[in-house]
Amino acid sequence: MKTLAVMLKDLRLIVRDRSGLIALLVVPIVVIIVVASATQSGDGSKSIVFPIVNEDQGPVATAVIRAFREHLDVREVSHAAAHHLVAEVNDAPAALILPPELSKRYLAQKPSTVELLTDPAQWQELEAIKVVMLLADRETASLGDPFSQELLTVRERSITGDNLSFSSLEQNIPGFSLMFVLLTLIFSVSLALREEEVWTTSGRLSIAPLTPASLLGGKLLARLIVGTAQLLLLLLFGHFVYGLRLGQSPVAMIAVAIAAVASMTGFAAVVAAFVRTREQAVPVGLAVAFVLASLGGLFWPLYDLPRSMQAIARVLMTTWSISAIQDVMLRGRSLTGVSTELVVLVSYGLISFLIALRLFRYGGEAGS
Amino acid sequence: MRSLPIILVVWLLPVAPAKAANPLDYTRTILEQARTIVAGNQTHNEKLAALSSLFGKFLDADAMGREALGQHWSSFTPAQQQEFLALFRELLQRTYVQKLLLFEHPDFVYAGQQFVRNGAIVDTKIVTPRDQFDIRYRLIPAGGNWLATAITVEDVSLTANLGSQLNDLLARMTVDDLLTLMRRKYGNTSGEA
Repeated sequence: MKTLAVMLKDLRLIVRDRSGLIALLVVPIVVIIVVASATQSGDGSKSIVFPIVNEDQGPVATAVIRAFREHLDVREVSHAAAHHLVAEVNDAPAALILPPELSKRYLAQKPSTVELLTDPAQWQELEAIKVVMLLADRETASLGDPFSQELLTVRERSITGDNLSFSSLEQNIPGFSLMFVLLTLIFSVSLALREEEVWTTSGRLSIAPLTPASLLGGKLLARLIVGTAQLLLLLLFGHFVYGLRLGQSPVAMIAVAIAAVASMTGFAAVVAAFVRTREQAVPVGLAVAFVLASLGGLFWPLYDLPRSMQAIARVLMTTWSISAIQDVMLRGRSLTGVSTELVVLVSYGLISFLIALRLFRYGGEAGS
Repeated sequence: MRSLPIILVVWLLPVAPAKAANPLDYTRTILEQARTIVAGNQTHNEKLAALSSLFGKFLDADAMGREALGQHWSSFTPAQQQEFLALFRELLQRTYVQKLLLFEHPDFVYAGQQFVRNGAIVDTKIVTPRDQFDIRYRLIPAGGNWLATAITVEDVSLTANLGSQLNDLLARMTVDDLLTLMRRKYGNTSGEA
């Protein structure tokens, strides 16, 4: 009977936390919807941007472009625009250059070389493009190449670095490292602030001669240091155990790690401001971390996502974080090469911190 | 003297095609029909079948096949020669027709004709908004029409090119292997590439 009474008392406490109950179901459903959409409703290779420079303007180029359009998001652009899309903004994994006189040479059965400018760091998208190229090659072989004479030869050239081949480790190790750092930050910040309320230390701190900014800032800086160390150690583990490349600039990698963790720490403070109980912290923390990880390209490449989700992904700090890490690791970029990502991530962290400061009432009720 | 017209008719019979349709006009008739098919709204395979049927009457695939094989022709048995010519007919039509289908709306220009010993040469161009492609046909009279015995695209002979590929293949495989390869690629005459 006593056990039953304790159970009923605990159930009453749980039921009283309506937000916690909603979070138990709604939050996992949101995660399931996002992950299901990401894994099942994606446009596949159709969402891969594939710039083609058509210097031929002849029937063969038209046929090649038509064949690629069946499978990829083909954009006919200038040489400079193709270079920009592949090497500068990394929106496309590769660009195809169809040279002048291609049609004339093809129709006269003379072999031609087409150039594929690549960003090997987007190796998964690149693999998808190569599969499409094989299909197109079979189609063109049956067009006017009766005995499979090599009329079109593809010359591949990386324009983003010396590394030409990558494996899934380059996606998975940084992706999962970032995901665990984010998860740790959301849990640790939310739970630590809630525990201070339980231990009533928050009340004492609120009357200490400290501004709220100093108080919250100090706590978050500690998390920033721990999170940065965690991320760098996880990447080093990947390097020494699995041979993960870390790029050519340790300074850039450390700066990226600090900026990425800063953005996540600020975001974790915003989440903590919304979480009112410890019971809410677990489902909300898991939901936020999984949604940000799956939409931000930490689990799979962005092209796997539906276009609408890709648009959302472009403003997430997880997307910017993995992109900055890959820029240093895979594209060999220096500190100046990742300056845009650093500015975005640090700004993200600062703005999140200011929002959290506005929402969080230390020593009183959390949230607003 | 009354038998003179009959003698003249008999004597003129071999060149009668030139009177029925000169080589340029006959080539124009064929290519304009091809243009209508290419620009039509049939499926790719339907166009392929229609063009193959049209060019089946225009291309002298047997002559081109023998020319493409060159010195190897005599090393084929009569049965192998017959099978090769049947497969080569399909290969030639597909190679030429598929190239024509690369052009969505081909515009032909008929540059001129010149009579040579045994036949005529007709120069045409396929004109696109950005470029033009020279195609030359060597024709011989056949019945009431003309047959193309050679096609040159941008100064490269289609027969010579196919001959070069056949020569390379026969340097590293037997006649039977070549026929097996051709049977695999061109044995299906459904019109699908």
